[in-house]
Amino acid sequence: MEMDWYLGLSAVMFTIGVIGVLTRKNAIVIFMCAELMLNSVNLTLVSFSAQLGDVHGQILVFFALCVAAAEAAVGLAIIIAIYRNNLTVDVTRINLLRW
Amino acid sequence: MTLQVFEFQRHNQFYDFFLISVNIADIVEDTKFFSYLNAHFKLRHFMETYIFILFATLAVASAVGMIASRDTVNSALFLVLNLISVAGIFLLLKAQFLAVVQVLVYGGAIMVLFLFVIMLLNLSDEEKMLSRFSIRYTVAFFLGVIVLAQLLYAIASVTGTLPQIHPDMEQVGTVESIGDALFTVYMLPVLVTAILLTAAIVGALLLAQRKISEKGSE
Repeated sequence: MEMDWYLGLSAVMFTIGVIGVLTRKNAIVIFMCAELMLNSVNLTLVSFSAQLGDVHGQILVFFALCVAAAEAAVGLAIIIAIYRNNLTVDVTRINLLRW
Repeated sequence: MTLQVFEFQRHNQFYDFFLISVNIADIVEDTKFFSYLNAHFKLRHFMETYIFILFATLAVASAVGMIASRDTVNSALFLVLNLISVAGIFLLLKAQFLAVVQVLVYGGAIMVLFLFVIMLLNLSDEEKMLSRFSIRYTVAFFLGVIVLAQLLYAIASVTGTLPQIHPDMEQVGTVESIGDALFTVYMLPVLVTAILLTAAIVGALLLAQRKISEKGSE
């Protein structure tokens, strides 16, 4: 099995995440698209690690998982705080700082 | 010295037993059926390709479903499916530990957090998602095409120079080898991760508090 297919799959998944971030308005879905992009980068790291037979790429994925967990906790708390103030999570209506 | 060891091996009955069992394994491996499969289908490669196609299709389809579905809960469940199929691809790449961690941490913990928040906020569906042709979708489409073209160009420039899966990989992806690296070379980053997660918990509690300080503002 050629490695190019794994890298191509991760490129396609990353692009779907980018399109999701750009098109959706729901803040939670945007956040999930960011998780999707993180996940596709993890796939790239694991496939390069598998080519080289090196454990360090997988260690980096492990730390990326930890950072993703912390990011999810803080980001969802921010979304809850925004919802409490604005009663919406639609990012087009959260325009307090827009001039 | 070496001769003595060799003599010991020669006259040891367990060594004879070992030789016999190796012969039996050779015979079993050399039977007509398995050699036929090996020669004509290359069974392992065959299975790997088809399992990859299965998981890759599932991953891409669930990612598209995630950004296309109007219900937020459906989006979250599609993301769970996507994460699990990526865990399957990790298994194909012989990263066993990461596949299990992907299902446990991502598919289990993080997605449950997402679903709890979706339930807590009690959101209605986004109204009229693809109702009209807006500039947002055209810009997103062109940016997506540009990003995909760049990524595929970067991958295509190294095509052919990439090696196959490394033969040592079955020992590299295990819990043993990753734990060995994590608790010796990467001891300090692991401790910093503990501080990071504690800070994240404290920050999340602080942000999600109902009223931060009502008396202080007056």
